[in-house]
This record gives sequence, C-alpha cells and structure tokens, in this order.
Amino acid sequence: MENNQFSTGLKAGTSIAIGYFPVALTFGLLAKTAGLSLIEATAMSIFVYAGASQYMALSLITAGVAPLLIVTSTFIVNIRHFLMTAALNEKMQPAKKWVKAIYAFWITDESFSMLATGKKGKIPTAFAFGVILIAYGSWVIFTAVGFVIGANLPQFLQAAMSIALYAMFIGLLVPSMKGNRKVVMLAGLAAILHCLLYLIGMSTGWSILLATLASSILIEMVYVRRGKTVDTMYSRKEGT
Amino acid sequence: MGATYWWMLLGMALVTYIPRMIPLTFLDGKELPPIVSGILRNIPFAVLGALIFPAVLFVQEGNILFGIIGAGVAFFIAFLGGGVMSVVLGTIGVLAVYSLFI
Repeated sequence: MENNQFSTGLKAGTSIAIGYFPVALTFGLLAKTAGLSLIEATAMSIFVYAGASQYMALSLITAGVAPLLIVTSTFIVNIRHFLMTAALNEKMQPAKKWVKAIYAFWITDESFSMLATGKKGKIPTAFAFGVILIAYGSWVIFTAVGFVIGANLPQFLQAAMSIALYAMFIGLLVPSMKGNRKVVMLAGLAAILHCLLYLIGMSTGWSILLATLASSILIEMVYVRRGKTVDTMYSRKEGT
Repeated sequence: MGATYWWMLLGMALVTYIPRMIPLTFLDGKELPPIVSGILRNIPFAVLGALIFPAVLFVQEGNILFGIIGAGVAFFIAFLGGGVMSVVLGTIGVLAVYSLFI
C-alpha cells in the first residue's frame, strides 16, 4: 500500500519534472556564464533547491553583491513558503515530526500546488515523497546537464518549453475552478493584486506573498460574512 | 569562487529550509481557529493565481503574445478536461509550432 502510494506520487510528479527540465537546464547554463564551477552550480540545486532564489542569486553574484545580502534576499523570496507549508500542514496525513521535517525540504511552489490542490482528504506521506523526489531528481540532474551541454537544445524548443511551469499551474488550477466560484475569485483576485504590485515595482517574492495572503483573507471574510462556511467549497466540488 | 561561495550556499540553504520546515513541524497537531484554517485552505488557489499572473506574460522577453497564446492554450486544454500532463505537453507542442513561425 505504502509502495503503491509512492509510485502514484512519482507518476503525479512527472509533470513537475517535465516543467523543471527547461528551467533547470537554463539555470545550469546561466551558472556557467556567471562563473560558477559544475560542482558549485549543482550543489546550489542540491542544497538550496529553490528556482526563483537560485536565479536571483546568479544575477546578484554577477553584479558582485555581498554574500550576506544574497542570503537576505533569498530569505525574503522564500518567506511565502511559511504560508504554503502552514496550508499544507492542514492537508497532510499525520506523521512523525522528523518525517515532516525531512519532506519539508522539498516543498516548492510546484510540489506544494500539486499536493494542496490534489486529491480530496488527507495526503499520504508516501505519495508526497513520490511527487517531491521525482521533481527534485529532475531539478538536480538537469542543472548539471544544462551546465555541461549548454544551449544545444534547438531554439524553438527551448522557447516553447519556457511555458511548461505555467502550463502546469494552469493545469492544476482549472479543474478546481470548474463549478466553484470561490476558487475562481481566489485565483482571480490574487492574480489581479500581483499584477498591480508588479506595476508599482514590488519585488516578486514580496508581491506573491502579499497578493496570496490578501486574496485568501478578503475572500474568506466575504464568505464568512455571507454565512457560508469554508466547507461549502469542498462539498460543492464533490457535487460537480 | 572559493570558500565564500560555500558559506553563502549554507546561508541560502538555511533560509530556504526554515520557512519550509517550521510550519510543518511546529503547527503539527495544533487545532487552529476555523477562520485561520479557512484562510489556509484558500491559499493553494490564491497562490496559483499569483504564480501564473503576470509572470506567464513574460516567458519570452519582448513578446507578450507568446505568453498569452501559451496561457490560452493551457486554459483551453485544461477546461476540456485534460490532465496536468496533457496540458503541459499540449501547450509546449502548440508553442513549438508557433515558435517555428516567428
């Protein structure tokens, strides 16, 4: 049973692995141009494992920014994960604390979205491990591959694959939106807020955090005021 | 790069891990007030909206149309009931064809 859940997780995680492929490849390539060695570049993917932060670190390294400032910026970009793992905690099957502390390392925007919008009920730990490990493998391996082979992928394919992560996010979001106005409003309001924050020049890390939090709180207040409980969201979904 | 790089990497690894780990272990087994847990349950859907827009428009520098077509195709396939995998591969396929023409 445990084993079964793990392989189901691996299968579910394959779309993340595909989405990571071009992003990791490009990261490897850029790391080379930023002057990192193969080991240094791959180590960043192994130990940090956060796409946005890694890209940002490269541009800061290239700009000659002080390491302490790079670490601080990394923290700011990652504050949103406090929110995600707090939300995920509600969804996960109970497990020993040290087990949760282990899989916590692999929670990214993508694995979080897949786990948290996925199946109804609690998520089995083995399933989560399947999802996160295949995604991680892809990220680490293709960082190294990108460093070594560089931009040898045909240009038109590289361009097309840059959409992969967003296509995945859309593929995760749309099924939950169907027949569920609350989900549509949550995603829509967060998207609009993020666009506005982008226009006033706020950095990506902060604006994702703020847009998500503001949308989740505002929409929840609207629903509580109307006297609808949170559970309508889920029971309605079952009806469709 | 040398030793400084590895210290920086250690720092980056820590500040990335902490926000992932603390809520999962410290909130474990705690009953949250219904309003808080309601807000937390909203987060996955809100975060997806914020992750998709506006970033999807900028996947190709200087060509917003590329992102708009990609997002449109992805929404379309997903709306027809395609799984995540078919959404990803289908969108890549359509954009690959499109990129051959620009």
